[in-house]
Amino acid sequence: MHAAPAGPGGVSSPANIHALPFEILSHIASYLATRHVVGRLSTVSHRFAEVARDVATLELDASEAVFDFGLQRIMQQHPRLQHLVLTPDRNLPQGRAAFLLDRVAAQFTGHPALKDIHCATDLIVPGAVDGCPTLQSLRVEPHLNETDGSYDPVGLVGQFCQEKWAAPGLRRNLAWILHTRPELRRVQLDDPHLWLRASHRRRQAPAQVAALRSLSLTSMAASSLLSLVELLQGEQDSDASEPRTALFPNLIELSMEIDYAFMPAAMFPALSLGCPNMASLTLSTLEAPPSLLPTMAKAFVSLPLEKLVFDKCSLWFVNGWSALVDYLTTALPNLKALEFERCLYRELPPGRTIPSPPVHVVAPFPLISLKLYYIGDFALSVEDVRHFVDRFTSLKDLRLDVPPGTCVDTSMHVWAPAAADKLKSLARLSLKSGSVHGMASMPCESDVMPRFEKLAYLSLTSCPVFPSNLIRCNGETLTTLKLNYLPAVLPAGSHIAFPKLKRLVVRGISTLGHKICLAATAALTFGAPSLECLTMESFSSTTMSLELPAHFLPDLLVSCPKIRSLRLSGFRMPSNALQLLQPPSPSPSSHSSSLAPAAESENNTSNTPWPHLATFHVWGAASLPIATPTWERTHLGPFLDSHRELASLHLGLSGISLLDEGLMLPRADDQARKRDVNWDTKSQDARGVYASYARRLLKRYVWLDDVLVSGPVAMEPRATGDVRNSLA
Amino acid sequence: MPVILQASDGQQFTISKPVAERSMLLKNMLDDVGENEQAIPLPNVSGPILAAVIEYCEHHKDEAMPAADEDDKVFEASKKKPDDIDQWDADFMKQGKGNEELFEIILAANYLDIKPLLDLGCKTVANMIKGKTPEQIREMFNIENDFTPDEEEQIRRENEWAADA
Repeated sequence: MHAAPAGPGGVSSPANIHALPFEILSHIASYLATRHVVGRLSTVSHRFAEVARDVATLELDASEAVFDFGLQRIMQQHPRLQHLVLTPDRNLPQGRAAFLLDRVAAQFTGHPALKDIHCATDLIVPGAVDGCPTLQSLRVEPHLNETDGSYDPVGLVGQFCQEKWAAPGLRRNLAWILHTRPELRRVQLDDPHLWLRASHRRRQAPAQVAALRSLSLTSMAASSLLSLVELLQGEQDSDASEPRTALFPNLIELSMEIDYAFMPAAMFPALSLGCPNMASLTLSTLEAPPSLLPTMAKAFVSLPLEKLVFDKCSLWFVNGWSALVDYLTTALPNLKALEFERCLYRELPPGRTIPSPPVHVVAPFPLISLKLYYIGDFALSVEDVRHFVDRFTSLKDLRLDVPPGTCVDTSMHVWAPAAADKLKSLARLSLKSGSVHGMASMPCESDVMPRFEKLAYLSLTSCPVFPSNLIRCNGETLTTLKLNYLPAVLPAGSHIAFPKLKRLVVRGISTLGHKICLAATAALTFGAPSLECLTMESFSSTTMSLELPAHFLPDLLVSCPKIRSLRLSGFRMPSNALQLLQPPSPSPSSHSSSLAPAAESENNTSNTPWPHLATFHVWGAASLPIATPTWERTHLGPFLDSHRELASLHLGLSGISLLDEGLMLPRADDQARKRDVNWDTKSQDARGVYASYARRLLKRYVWLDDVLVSGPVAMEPRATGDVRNSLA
Repeated sequence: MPVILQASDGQQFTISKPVAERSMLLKNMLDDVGENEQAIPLPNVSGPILAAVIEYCEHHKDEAMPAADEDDKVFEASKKKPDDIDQWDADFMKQGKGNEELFEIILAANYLDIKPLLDLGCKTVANMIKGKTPEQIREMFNIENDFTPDEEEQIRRENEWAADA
């Protein structure tokens, strides 16, 4: 990036951005956060004020400032708005943030051009339904606090919207919302209601909603499940000779969080009747009776279902996980993705059987993605892994919870050579294992070298040995490597080349062996010149930080010059860390950074370490020293000034001592010192101090989008003494 | 069959068809006209800028074209992020390109209908704007402050809620 080229005469005239057509200026603005466009760009010139007025997207924190100004006034200033995202203010305590979110949402009465609303309170619904004639997408996430359908903390009804909204649950009444706004294409609702009485449903529920493509319902109660079934089934007394109209003929995506309610047996036949084009179904927190899967298989035979996800469900079946997977893939002819996330398997008592599936899909199976993460005792065996490999040869994405020994010597022979041979398209492999207990012998690494030609993503969790052969023989193609809770003992002098590796994640670096783990990480980064994102988390990141050796950052700067995202959690940085990331030329650093001439920092881009750094997270107890005026002037400030692409900054401080800004933590008194004062984010006072500091950083370093600051609730007396010395 | 392009200053470039087809304008033209040995005149694009655009298209010629599905725009992630620029692309935009050249590349990408290059140019400008105060933005792009003090105060007041958000 270049600022105006200042020629030798110093009077070269930079090109005028106003020469660009208006659509292109709008396009440029679409890449900037709302606060940059509306807050700053608008005050540059009339033309940019016009650009800011014409934005298509507003992403707002429900802050005090937004509430005071009024959401509806903001809406009126942006007549061509299409997307509205309203989020709670992260730098406020949760209660206050939720309260403000409700009040701001309640101010909303509508907008003539809006297409999409995304917000975590149903108080937005009256304005959305009554006042947005072009709305296509309404997403209401679960509230920060649990609320029900009659929740009205701000005296909403009668103040901003019509009387009818006083009816309990109307703001969450899916049937009524779709009846009123049948042109909606995407709807998400929390704790949805559907008329309880059939008489209401006949009058005030739609017979068909042709526009709806995507529906997501969270916290569904038993009554809404029953009502939904009846709605999907349609009028019982209609003429039997006529084909029944499907309620959601074009629905592609359906997600239901059942909230451990009883799933009515009629749900699946009703779904296949009401959603004949459903391609993706997600069921969450479902307690499934033994008959559920056979009922589903029977009902869904004719559906074009390609993706089926069970999330935190418990499922009854016979003969274990692989029999269950076989059953579903045999019964559902179009299935391309089958996922189990934290599901519990339950074996039916002896004697009980499962009826065979209604159709038989035969090999080759079209399954592309298989994910099986389970909880409970019923585990997959290495033979199951081999079974999947033999059966699903089209897999591109395989993610499994596996027994701890899967990647050690003898077990690798069972599945890995076959996998490398058969899974020619495999691009993503993730193997997680639990505790290592119960292994008969000391695990050794396998000499099997399974080379997957297209493997780009490899994630390994809790393997009892460091699987360096598996990693080594796939290093050439990997773009992402994640290592979680591994014993990091790399064979001496091992160098693995990762020419394409962009993202490296190492989690669970243990307290005792952290120097070895860090050395292993350094060895991995050494062969990864293209690395852009590095994430490292220590095992106990929030209670105790591990010391980062002084040479770690300098080495990393040399071996991985392209890093744009650095996330370190639970490491104590060397005191010169931020200075290492400043440009080497001793430029006079100015405290009031935002007034510093832009060109000065731009010219240094070439010798700035990691010039394109966009994310910098140094999180954990005492990862960085106490924030003092001197520290900000000589460490943080120059670092931020020289990294203008930085957007996300998270800092774990040892305290704050900025007296002239009125930010000062209480000194730890004797009582506080008796408690654990190291890392307690629950204390409101301390959180307030850190949150204020975060807001000030956002304001002072205007290119930042996201700042989080945390630290202890009180500074240790020794630490405050240090501060005095540094101030003196 | 190579394609010949002629820039506004008469300079001619001979490129392969897959490279030319990164431009939707040229692709449609080639589809309509068929193979032709005559140079295609591009009166809106100067020689040096066309050379840069061709360099970009050469590099990306083997990539899949982005699908343009207007219908599903409502399903897109609402806010686009400016920081997911590929390293080659970032270097390409940097190499000795001043504002003038950058804007001309954006205009050429717009005219030739090369969406990824248009996006890249706009992201680059967005990143330049991001860390700057209004005064710095004016300086960088040679913009005259055409507000009266009263107007400036008014617009500041109207948008104050966003500055701290």
